[in-house]
Order: sequence, then structure tokens, then C-alpha cells
Amino acid sequence: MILKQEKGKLIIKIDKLEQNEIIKKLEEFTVKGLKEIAEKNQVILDLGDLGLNEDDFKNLIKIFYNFSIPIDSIRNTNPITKMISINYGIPVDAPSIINTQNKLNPRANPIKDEIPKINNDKTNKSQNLSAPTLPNLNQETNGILIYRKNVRSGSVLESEKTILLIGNVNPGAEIKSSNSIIILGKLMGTAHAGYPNNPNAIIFTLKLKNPLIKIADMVAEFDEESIKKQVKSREISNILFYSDNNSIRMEIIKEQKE
Amino acid sequence: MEKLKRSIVVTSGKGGVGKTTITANIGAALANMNYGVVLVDADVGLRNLDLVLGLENRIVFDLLDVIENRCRSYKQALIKDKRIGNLYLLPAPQTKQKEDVPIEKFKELIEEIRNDFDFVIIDCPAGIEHGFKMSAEAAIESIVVTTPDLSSIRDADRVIATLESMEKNPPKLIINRLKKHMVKKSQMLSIEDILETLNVELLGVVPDDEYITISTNNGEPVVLNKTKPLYKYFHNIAQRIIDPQVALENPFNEGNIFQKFASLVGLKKPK
Repeated sequence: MILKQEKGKLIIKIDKLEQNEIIKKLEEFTVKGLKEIAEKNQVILDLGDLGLNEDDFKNLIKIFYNFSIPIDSIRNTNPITKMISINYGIPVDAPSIINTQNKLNPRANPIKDEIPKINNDKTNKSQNLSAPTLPNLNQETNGILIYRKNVRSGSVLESEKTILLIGNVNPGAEIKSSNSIIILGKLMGTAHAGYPNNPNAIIFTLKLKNPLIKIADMVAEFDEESIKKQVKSREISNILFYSDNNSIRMEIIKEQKE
Repeated sequence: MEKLKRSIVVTSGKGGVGKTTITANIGAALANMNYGVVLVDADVGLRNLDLVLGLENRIVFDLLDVIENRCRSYKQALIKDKRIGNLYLLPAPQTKQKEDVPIEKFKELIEEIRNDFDFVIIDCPAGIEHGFKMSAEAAIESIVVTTPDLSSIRDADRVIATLESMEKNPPKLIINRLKKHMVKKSQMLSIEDILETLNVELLGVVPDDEYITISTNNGEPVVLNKTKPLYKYFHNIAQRIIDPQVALENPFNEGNIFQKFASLVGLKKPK
């Protein structure tokens, strides 16, 4: 266990999950005044890539709690541990490198980082751009807003309902929904689904050009050229965006063969 | 003859796309067709329409003088073009701010002029602030000018959205400075590309031409010179303002070799 203090943050790094050792170290540091430092600083528990199950996680937090050190957030690259942590009410903190790349939330990864990962999976060549596991996107919505007109530059089409837009979102225009957005047209502006905090929302569009995609508090910069190169096609169409593990993913829906 | 009593605002959002040149030339073309036309420069503080028409040294009263009742009637402030009998200019004040002109008063003035003439064409300032709101509120019809570049199209889109929200006649579009050879090589957005985004009725297309610079510097609208290539495009726009059924003068439609020859020697195209 390593302790580090930087800019109002106390980072406790743990690379092995051995309860006795952690307790022993914590006792040691408490004598040196760890409690006072923890009170003044934001406490971040850095778990590296440790994969913890729910019980392990609870026990670990309990140890810190017993030493009256409240954990403000955790750092972890393991998605399951992240999920447990969020369910437990402890937010996930990201290292500062990602922080600068994202405008809205440090948790979201830019989409251009996501695409190559999927593509590198050579064993699955035929489904190059589909995600390895399909998320369950079925959800109840309290209605739908159908809008048949182009959304023009400077105007915002906003609704709490799922928006079905039959028309284009022009450059400089914005379409914003608390639920999902389906665009039967061309997306050239900003689409924000799941506003402000519904990560289950999806965005679908027939065509797009230099769009900005936002789902809940995540934002993705869309690098059309690199995607076109990967798909080896001049034009991409029928694009679905959804969020998975706090990042926005993209999938090209292909025609289903009978 | 019954007056047409139409008021049109020429606007674009972005600056430098050719609003003033187009206003001057459409106005001159309509006046050439024997309609009474008043051009109103609404670009208070940055007036240019007088220059393009070559009337800058004849300004005595301006728009604000009329609104603040410093002259007997608006007719005293109108400058009559000596070359084209039916063309008048109401110049903008150069030493004032746009906000100095109250929207309601301006609207009343435009209504008053509209009832006395066939056309009132307002040259709107760039931007979507006071000057734009004033001009757009005052006119019944609107023409949006765009060049085939993305920034100009985006601004035009914004302006169209604002005009549509005012619940007036749907705006019409003029595409200015189209470079034919670049479109052919797909280095420039085509007419179709622009219409796909803007989705409004196309009133006319004006190709890029060097002569426009000379014409502006000399204060002589292109329409005064029938031999110049741009004459037919402005004339076509004027015709289409009168009668929307008139076919669009498309720069890509060159016709067969006989028609080309006919247009070269100044004959009309056979119908």
C-alpha cells in the first residue's frame, strides 16, 4: 500500500488485496496523523487493475471506514469493480490525462479511442464494427415525439420524450432528449441523448457528417475519416450510438439477411 | 397601373457574401422592367449601398432623419438614380448606431413606402442582432443570400430558422459566387448540396465574376450593361421575383451549340 498526496487529493494505492497488511499499514499511518490529512483532502482509492467482487469491495471500504477514512472516489480499470463501486455510491475517478480530453465528464472516453479496440479483434473479422457483447437497449419510454422538419442552425429541438426526427440536424443545430434519439435523416450538428443522466439512451441516425455525439454526461468526438478508413467505405450509414461502461460506442447496423 | 406593394429583405447572416451587390442589382433590374423600386439601406453605421449604386455624393437626408422627422416626408430623403428612372435609394446614416433606429418606427416607415411603390428592398446588415431583427420584422418577404461555403451556409441556416419563426412568407435563396469549374471538379459545394442543407426554394444562382468588382468600384450596377455575362442572372432573378413560374437561369445549363452562339451574339434563347 502506497500513500500519495497531490493538489488536495490523498491517493491510496493498493496493488494486493491482503486485508491484514492493509490494516497493519493503516494503523501505522494513523499514528502519523493520517486521519487529519484525510479530513482535509479528497480521498481517492487507487485499485489499479484489481478485480474485486462485491464482498471484497464492501470489506475493503469497511476497513477504511473503521479507521474513519471516508473514501470519496475510486480509481480502477476493471469494469466490474467500477460497476460495484458506482452501485455502492462511490464515484469513479479518472486519471488526469483523460480529464483534459473530455469536455463534460472525465469518465467518458472519446469515441476514436474506442473504435480501434473493436477493430483489432482479428478473430472476429466479419463483425468488425459490432461490439463483442450487445447491451440490452430495451427500455420503457413514456412516449415519443415525432418531428418532421429540418432542425436548423442555432435552434434546439428538446424533449423529455424519445425524439423521432424525420429530417436533418443541420450544422450548428442541436437535438436533445432525456431519452433516445432516432434520426431518419442526416446528423450534422449535435445530438444529446439521455440528458442529463440517462446512460441507457441511444442515438440512431441514417447518415452523419461531422456530428457531436453526447449520451448522458458523456461526449464523443467523432472522427469520421478514420472510421471511413476502417470500414473501407466512402460513406457510412445506419449508425447506432450507445453507452457502455461509461463510454460511447458506435455500431453500424447492417441489413439483416434472411 | 395598380402598385405591387411588395417589401423584401435581403439578408444572409454572414457578412461579405454579396447582400449589398445583389440588392443593388435586383433593384436595378426590377426598375429596368419599369417597376417603381426603393432600396433601403438598413446597415446603419456601415452603409455601402450608396457606393455600389454610385450615389454617395448625393446624400442629404438619411433614414434616421426621416424617422426623427427632420425632413418633411420620406420622399425628401429618397435619392433618384439618374440612369434608371424608377430606382430610388433611402440611405442609412453613417454616424449613428444600429440601435438608434427603433424597430416599430422603421416598420411603420417601410409600410408607408411600400404602399406608394411596387418594391421596397431592404439591404439588411450582417449578423442576427438589432439591425437584422429590424429589417426582417419590417419586410413581408425575404431573400437569403449564401455563398457555396460551409460557414456562410450555416449562418444562412440560422437566419432561415429565425425568419421561419417570424411566420412570414417562406424565405427564398440566392446562391452567390458559384465557381462553375470548381463545382465540376467537386472542389466546391454544388447547388444540390446547398439545397439539401437549407431546404428552401431557390430563387436564383449568380456565378462568380470578376466584373462585379469593377462594377462596384465604378458605382454601376451590372444590370446596366446588357453585354456583361452576369446581366442575365440578375435579370432572371428579377423575373422570378415577379413570376415564380419563370425557369431558373442555371449556370450549368449551357444548351446546345446554336444556343451558345445565339447567346454570344446577344440573341435570346429559342424557347
